[in-house]
Amino acid sequence: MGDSTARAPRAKKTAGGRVVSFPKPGPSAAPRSKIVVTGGAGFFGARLVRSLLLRGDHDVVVFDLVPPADMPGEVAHRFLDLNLPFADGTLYKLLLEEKPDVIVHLAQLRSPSHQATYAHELNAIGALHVFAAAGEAKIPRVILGSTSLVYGARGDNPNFLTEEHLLRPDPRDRFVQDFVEAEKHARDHVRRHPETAVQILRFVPLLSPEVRDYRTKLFASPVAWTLLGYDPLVQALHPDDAVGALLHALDRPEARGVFNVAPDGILPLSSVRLFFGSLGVPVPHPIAYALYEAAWVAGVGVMPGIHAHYLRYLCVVSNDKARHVLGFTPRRTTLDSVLETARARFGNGRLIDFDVLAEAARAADFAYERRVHPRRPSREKAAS
Amino acid sequence: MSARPTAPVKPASPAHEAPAPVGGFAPAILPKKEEDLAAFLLGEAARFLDAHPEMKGPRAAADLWNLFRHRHRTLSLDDFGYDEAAAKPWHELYDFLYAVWWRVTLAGVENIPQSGPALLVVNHSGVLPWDGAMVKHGILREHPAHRDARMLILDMFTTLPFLQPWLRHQGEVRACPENGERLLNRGELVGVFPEGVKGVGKLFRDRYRLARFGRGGFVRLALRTGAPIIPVTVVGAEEIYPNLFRMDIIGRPLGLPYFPITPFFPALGPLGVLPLPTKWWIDVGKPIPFNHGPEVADRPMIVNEFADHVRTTLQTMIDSRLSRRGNVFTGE
Repeated sequence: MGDSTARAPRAKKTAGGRVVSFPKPGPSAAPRSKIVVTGGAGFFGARLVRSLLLRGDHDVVVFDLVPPADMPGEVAHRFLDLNLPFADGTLYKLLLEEKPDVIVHLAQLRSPSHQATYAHELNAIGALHVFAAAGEAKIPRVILGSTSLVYGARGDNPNFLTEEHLLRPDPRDRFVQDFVEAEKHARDHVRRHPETAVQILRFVPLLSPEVRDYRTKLFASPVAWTLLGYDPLVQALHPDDAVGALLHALDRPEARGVFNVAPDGILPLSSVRLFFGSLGVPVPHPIAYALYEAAWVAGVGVMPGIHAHYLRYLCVVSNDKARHVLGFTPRRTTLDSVLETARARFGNGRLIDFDVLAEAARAADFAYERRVHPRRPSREKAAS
Repeated sequence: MSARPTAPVKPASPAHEAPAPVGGFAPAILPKKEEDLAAFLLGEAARFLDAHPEMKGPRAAADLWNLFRHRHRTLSLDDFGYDEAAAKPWHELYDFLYAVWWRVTLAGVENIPQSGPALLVVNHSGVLPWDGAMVKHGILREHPAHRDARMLILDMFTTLPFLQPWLRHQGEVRACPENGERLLNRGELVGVFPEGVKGVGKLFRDRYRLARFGRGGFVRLALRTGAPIIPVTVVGAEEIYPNLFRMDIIGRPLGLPYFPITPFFPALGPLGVLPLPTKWWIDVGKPIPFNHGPEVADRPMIVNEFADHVRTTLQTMIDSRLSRRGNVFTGE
């Protein structure tokens, strides 16, 4: 964010030059506070609200069209429709009544929508309303849920994008551009109100047996076009880890700025198809873009053609900053989430044996650990 | 149907209910008449599916195809997508190219440390990046610790269809400072070609004259990570495709950085892609320590001077090998 003190410290190198050190996360300085969750009845918001209620150390108010279902206790709900033209005024009045310490803004569509206007009003203008009202009502903290797709899938992306990288999604990709605009409103808010703490969490697209977004539809479809000769690495975040990262962010008001929320590990798209039992039909990539677009326009597709960039190029993010500054450790790797989802949804009567795969996945995790965190040469010398 | 205790146990199949053929040998499993064949095959298929219910699932075809595509692959990927098992089958080709086709002589491999980070700086040549493959394979074969060098590859190769996933399985990584730093920080051996596309697309008349060394990014990488730079030269690869001139009028519309015209390509078609069997030398120089501290990486003039020093070292090594080399193909 713009505030220089709010920036997480950059990676420091010691004289040897190989140790990356971040300040250790301090003890949780969180007295009982009131948290407003916009979109608290949605898939993601409801999970956060449930976790907060189970922890019981904060008061939670849900701002949404409907109250959240299946909650472990009573939860306060206020009606809010961010799509109404003067939603910021309504929200401002609600905020004055509730006087929350934190707003967690999760009222977003996380799949491309055919109703492009509605999606734009909610994802981009909704954030504008939230920040406008939060500024007027002098709310000290806002947390914005964003997506890691905002970096854009590009052929010249590094394998792991960090928070400092430019946001370069395709300008024609309205779905992703709306999130970019929401982040812009967050930056403007920081500029106008430097005293407020704003955290932007860029979540990797979620995957679990319950998630029903455009990406799971794509993975789960029995037959899907693939881009001939391209097989990018992908990440998948378990919703429990996403909620865990939000709780860590809530507990650390001093950690302002942008954080990628990503699992460890990657998987090639073709391997995700293997687990889901989806048959990829490779077509040259210009044709694949056109086919996805045609299906989208016809109303049967899962995403606009331009979004097929994410089936072609890398958009994988690093979780180093969230790990070191927020103290967030993902519990599940990409492979874990993919296996769990594929097994729960399509695990029966398949040619591939998920018990064997789970065993292989455990071994693979071990190999991954060994490769990514090898023994330091100094320790090896000491051992020999 | 009730079982008849007196009858011997027979497999219950329509094919077996036909009377046994009289005279001559006919295997009982085959149908008697030709017109029965279709019915027989359908019956056999139905029997097979009954025995293997998982083959009847709606995703069986996808599973079969996906499993076939994963026949060499494992789940043990590193975070750059390197799959050692998937790279293995290609080692036979590399072995052939290394030992038979180009008869590579690798000298000074002991200069590469047994463990810990190091940055190999290699001269680039030969239109297609075979030199990188041979340096990597040579170290894997002949280094005492069989170290696996991770080559940083030009964008033009890592974004091309088919090459993108293939190179990734081989453990190659797109060349950018972030990737290099991540690999060196975890103690890997990393190879770079600072000449980049200017080196690999070099004309035949410019052979063994090093092009400009990029923007000194490899020096900054070494300074930031404290990894030593090890100069590596490849002699012999400049002649595998004698690049007489570049035809931009064809290359530009195809989106290629260059379209080489050699004596054999494109005149001989696919045969022209066959590299000439020259004799190769790969020389590994002494490590140059770069422990001046990461702050020096932000002083461009010093970085440039270091880059020039490394470039001169490489040029000297190349010239000394060239002066001792005789025939391009036999080396004598």
